[in-house]
Amino acid sequence: MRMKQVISVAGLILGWSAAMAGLVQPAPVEVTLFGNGAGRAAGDMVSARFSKDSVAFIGCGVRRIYSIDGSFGVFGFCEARTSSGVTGTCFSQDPALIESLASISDYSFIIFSWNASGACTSIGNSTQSVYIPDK
Amino acid sequence: MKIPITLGLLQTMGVVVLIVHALGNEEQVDAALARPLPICDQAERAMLGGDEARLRSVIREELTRLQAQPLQRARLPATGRARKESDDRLSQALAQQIETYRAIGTITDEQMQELQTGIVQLDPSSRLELMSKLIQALNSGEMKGRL
Repeated sequence: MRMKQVISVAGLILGWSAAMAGLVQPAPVEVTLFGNGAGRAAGDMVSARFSKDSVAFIGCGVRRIYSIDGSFGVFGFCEARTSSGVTGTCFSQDPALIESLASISDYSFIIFSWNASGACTSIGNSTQSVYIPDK
Repeated sequence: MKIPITLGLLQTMGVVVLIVHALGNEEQVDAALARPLPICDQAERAMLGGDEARLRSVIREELTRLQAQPLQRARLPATGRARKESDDRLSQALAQQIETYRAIGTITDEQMQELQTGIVQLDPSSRLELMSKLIQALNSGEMKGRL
């Protein structure tokens, strides 16, 4: 009888803890190649970082490189690799796309696509609690 | 009374299992470090003695030469013959460099940075062309590396 009470209390505590965790919706990195050089990639930073392999990653960045004519060459890029090693990369010189990279953070979900030339055609990100790892 | 004892025993067993697992991983890491270099690394080192090293040298020389006269270049019209010839030489060397890395199958972070520094010096259309070439090599899986 006492054993049953202990188990019931433990179950309640565990259930309550799980309910307090909130919605978690990890998005492992996915890369889709369309065959003509174009493609699409998506995934969240946390799932990629804590992937059980040492292969998967996703992220974006900006390069500002000094040019000899006195200006800076600027381009943005996004890249991702799935656990199975499929890679998707794109670059952009479009100021609006480059600016959008600034809002990416540690817990962001990132999605981007590119054309046959490797130029980014879209870059999106979403920073929501569902991408923060469980306790 | 039996329950705390059972839980204590289970916890101890769990700790023992974790320690054994951790020790196993440590041995795997040691074994991995002791392994010889992968074939791609060896190939890359071999290539460094030939075309790849020569191309990198050409690119460095070209960049150094251009950087030595920035003011003069700034005064020249962008369509000047000297600028065009210089851009063409650099563009060709960079394109060959990408092909070399594609043949090797990998590009290091340092080599990538060097390539990008070269590409940024080119006119917009050449820059676009070479960046596309680089991205296509990465996305096809023929060249492993990161931007």
